[in-house]
Amino acid sequence: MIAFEGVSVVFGGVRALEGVTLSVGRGALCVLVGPSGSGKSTLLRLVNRLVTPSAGVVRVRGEDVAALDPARLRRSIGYAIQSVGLFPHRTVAQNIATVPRLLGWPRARIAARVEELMALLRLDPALAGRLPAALSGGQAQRVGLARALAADPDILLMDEPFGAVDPIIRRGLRAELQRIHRETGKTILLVTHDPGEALELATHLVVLREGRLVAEGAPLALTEPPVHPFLRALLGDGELGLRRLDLLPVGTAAAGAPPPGAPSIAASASLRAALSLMVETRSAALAVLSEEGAPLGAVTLQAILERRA
Amino acid sequence: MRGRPGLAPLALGALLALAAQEPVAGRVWAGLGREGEAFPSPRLLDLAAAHAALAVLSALAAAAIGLGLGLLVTRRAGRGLRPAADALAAGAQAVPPVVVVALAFPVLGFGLAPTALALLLYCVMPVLRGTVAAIESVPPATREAAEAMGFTPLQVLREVELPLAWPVILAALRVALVLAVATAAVGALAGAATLGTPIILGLQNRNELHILQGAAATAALALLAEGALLLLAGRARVGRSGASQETAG
Repeated sequence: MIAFEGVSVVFGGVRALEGVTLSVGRGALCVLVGPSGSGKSTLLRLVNRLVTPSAGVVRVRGEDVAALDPARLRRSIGYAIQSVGLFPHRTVAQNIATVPRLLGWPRARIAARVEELMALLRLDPALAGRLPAALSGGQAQRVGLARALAADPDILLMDEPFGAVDPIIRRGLRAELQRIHRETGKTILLVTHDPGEALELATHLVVLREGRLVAEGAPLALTEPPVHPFLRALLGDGELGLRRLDLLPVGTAAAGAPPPGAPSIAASASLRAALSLMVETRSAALAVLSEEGAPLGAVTLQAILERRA
Repeated sequence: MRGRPGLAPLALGALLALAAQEPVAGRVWAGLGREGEAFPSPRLLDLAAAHAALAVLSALAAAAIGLGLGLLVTRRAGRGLRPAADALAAGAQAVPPVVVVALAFPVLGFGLAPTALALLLYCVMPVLRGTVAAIESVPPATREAAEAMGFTPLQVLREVELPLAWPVILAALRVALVLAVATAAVGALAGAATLGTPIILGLQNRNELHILQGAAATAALALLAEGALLLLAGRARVGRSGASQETAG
């Protein structure tokens, strides 16, 4: 869906990206992660031509973006940024309607789409006529996301989209994004500097460092021991083992029968949650239950330690 | 009514305009025990009309040039012209209008032309500075978002930059007009018919009343211009926010 072929970017003599080759498949939720100055935002902005490569080719839907009209390319790609960038002189509804209006949709269709998106992002319909200054941080981020989704683009670019909100709202917005990704199958490219967020969201994780691609792949594969020291430092925060367990559902480690009286845990919970429950209840084995409460077997401390991807 | 911008300068302007009129000025002057004939009102009104026309036309020309230059140097392609435009405008403002009038009339002759040129030069800078500052005050994230949404450069200007910058630009235009109205009096030196004429006559004939009448009338016109534009700006703001609520509903 999106391909970078030997792409380099130089800003006034400074190399922002060097020789990056990367292919992002249709329907991927590709997360770009790296320390500041690693070039992750630059890589993202190449896709809709906000940045021009000094070498290499960027392809979107198989076409070299350099050959496309920038305005038309951008209208076909959703874009959401940390600072949100809502138009302060336009109401919430007008902000959301931006791209459909540029594309010349009829008024009725725009109004219906705005209503639909506000519902999708759980925005109170009463907010439609407000100006952005009257919104909370979380609401503004949702409106920004709704605006990015408005014309139903098949590609969505997000640069630290949840950067400016508190952790609880952030968690909610992340879940919302995963739900939208699951339900719509859009190809999403997302930049974050939060390794926890990166591991949680990504189906395809891309690690950058000083403008070079260091590693890419599924989060589980990238956290498979032995882990390169740079990845360990970047993704781990001293708890790489736990973060890896976060990615694995309990159901994948269930076997045998639990000892009588063992505490129970849902099969969909993470192994991290299972380990935490073991520590909390001082038991080395838990009973695994399905959504309906049917017993599926046991998960043991030993099984967690021996778990491989 | 309190807080409605523009009413105070309008009231003060009206008061001064009244005070400059022959019957009022003459009576007050005589009441103070001073001698001297008042400048006739019909003549004063004619001069005021000429003065206003000259100032408004010069300010309009300055607005067009300042606005055009300001928009040009804030475009990506025109950024290189910024220092030159700044220097030009600063230079134009640094030369006193009297000097421009004096230097220009060997070329442009007596009367309106040198005065109009002086006013134009004098008023370009506030408009240029105001326009540039206003456009630069548009948050970069907003401009970038507009670009990323697929606005063409012209759409970014028309739909994002200008609406956000408009209040500051309007303030700059107001400053330019008030400057033009207040300064147009110097045109009398070059023989242009303005409210500077009674002042010059008063100086030549040692008639202080003429000088005061001319000064009061000039100040009145400047205040009326200020008040009218403030009122207009306030109305525009109200109209716009009303409209945006309407379309949103």
